Amino acid sequence: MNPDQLGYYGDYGGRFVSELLMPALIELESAYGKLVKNKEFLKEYRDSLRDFAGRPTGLFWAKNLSEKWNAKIYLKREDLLHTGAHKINNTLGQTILAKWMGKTRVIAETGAGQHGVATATTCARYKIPCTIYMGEEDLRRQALNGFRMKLLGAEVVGVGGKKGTLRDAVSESLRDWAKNIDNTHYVLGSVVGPHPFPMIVREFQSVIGRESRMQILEHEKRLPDAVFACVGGGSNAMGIFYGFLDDENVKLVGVEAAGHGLNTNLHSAKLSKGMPGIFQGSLSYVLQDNSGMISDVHSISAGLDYPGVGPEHAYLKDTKRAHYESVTDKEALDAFQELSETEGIIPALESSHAIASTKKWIKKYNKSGSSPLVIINLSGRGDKDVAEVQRLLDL
Amino acid sequence: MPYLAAGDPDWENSLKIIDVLVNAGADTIEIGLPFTDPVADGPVLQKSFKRVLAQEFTMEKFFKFLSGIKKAHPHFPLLVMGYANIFYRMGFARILKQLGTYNVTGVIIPDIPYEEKMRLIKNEKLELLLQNISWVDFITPTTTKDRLIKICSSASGFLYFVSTKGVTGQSQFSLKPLQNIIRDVRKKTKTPILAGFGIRTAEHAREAASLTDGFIVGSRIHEIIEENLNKREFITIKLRTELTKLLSGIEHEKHLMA
Repeated sequence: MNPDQLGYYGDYGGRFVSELLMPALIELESAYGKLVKNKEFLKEYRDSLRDFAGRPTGLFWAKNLSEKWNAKIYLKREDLLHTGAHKINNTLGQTILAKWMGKTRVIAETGAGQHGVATATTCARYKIPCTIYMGEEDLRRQALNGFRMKLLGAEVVGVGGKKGTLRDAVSESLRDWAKNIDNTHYVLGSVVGPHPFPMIVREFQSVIGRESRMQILEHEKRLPDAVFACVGGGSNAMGIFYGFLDDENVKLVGVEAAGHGLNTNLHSAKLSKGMPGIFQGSLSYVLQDNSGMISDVHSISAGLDYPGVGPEHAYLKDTKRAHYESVTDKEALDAFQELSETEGIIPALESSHAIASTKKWIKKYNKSGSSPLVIINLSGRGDKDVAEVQRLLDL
Repeated sequence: MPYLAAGDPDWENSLKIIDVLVNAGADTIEIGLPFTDPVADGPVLQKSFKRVLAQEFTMEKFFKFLSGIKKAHPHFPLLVMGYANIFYRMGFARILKQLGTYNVTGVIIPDIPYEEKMRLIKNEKLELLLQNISWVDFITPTTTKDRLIKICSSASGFLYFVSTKGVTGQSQFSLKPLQNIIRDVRKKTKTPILAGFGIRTAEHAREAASLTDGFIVGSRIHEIIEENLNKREFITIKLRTELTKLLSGIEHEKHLMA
């Protein structure tokens, strides 16, 4: 759905930012509204998606996994995109948008570094200087991505002190934006933050869902029984869900990180365990304590390690159009290995959550005596995680 | 108007600092309600919140602090600055009511802009409550003319004039380039204007006092706290000296608000 005039999806969303940023958000909303109807802008975006990023991505019938798990499983291969994840769908869109808006500088936050690398990549391509904010702890864990961004010409700034993670990077980006609002565009990496970001990012990611729907109809002549995607901020899930939102018989499942387990404090399952709250620009589900302080969260996957989630997911949860499950670090790690061995595809740890959850769901589904048709959004490739997984498996 | 993060550097010394601020001639004090993710604040005030939160913060402790101030200074009016989620979690109506009992005359919520404020007042039915406590609006260097007119038309208490693009604790301060915005505000409302963000010297204070109705000093105060964490008994002494320096050369009427 499109948000209302104030940027709300039902009860969620809005623009909870300082007055300094309001004019920029209004300018962005208006520029975006005009450009999505501009044929030249759209052609530039679509051409770059095809020739630079590598769209369309395949919808791959995972035959071995299907046999093993007693279902028909398709993988949407976002892992095959340039820079290795779905993130570039959005960074291309927003970087071209920034260029058309006459902005001469770009900033972005990044967690594991995927969105940062994608932003640095598209900024190099469109010759816009960019600064990437990354938590110091993330920067240490994903040092290689820090180097990749520098190689691509970006300025990389570590923030939040020794324990700094994605949420610190978002806060610091918002602070930078308030300071440099005249010439700078903030390329937010997920369907979070103040309106119009959740809408813009979802629109740029919805290409995943549109392609998937066409492709499954081509292959199977019918729609899937369910679509699975992992949820950190929620952009890849929103992207693939969007293709099937009106197909009421298609079950939409978002998979959160249960970390060490939902009964511990070490998880980041905000839709399952959080409460509505106002965090980094919008009203949505947030992991927080009784005073409203935002909780420290955990996930094996840095991309899911965030206490907030996009407001449209909150809306889809409350209206029950989408369902939100969670899997632990251990289950995700098992799925990471299982897909690698079974299909010859190393998935990102984020996407491994979606795979693990699908496995559990199929088992239940099989009890009814039939086997389902499922699409899993393979949002990114696992190369970035190989060293971390090796470390964990050696323990 | 001085700003103090409640509980910085600890609850006991925080109350002592309040005494200093009151005795220095402040007409009111802006009390900061700590939050984990203060996006409108620079490094100094971020660290001050971290110090308070490290002592296992609860709302009970915060209200106990306000009650301590009321006990020491029974009629002294306060303002409370807090981020939106703290208000949302406790409930806007509930927190406003409770704050009223501690002589809090206004609230400042930096991540709620005008549109969201209006929506919340309607949805949470706050009109009546807000007759006794004002919800302060912001005017910034980026505020457009049409927004300025809207904001001024419903302003109450005072208008918080953000002196620079960015966050609190700026190293540079000058209101001179923004005189036209101040003039626009004056044309639309009689609500007093207080300048904030980056005021740290007597010179800044003089400039702010000459163009607006008062000013807010926050980061400078917390720098002094930060510099004296290992000898906390010196904090009040150093603050007294600093405030005298800062207010030198300003007529009393002008720092009535300050």
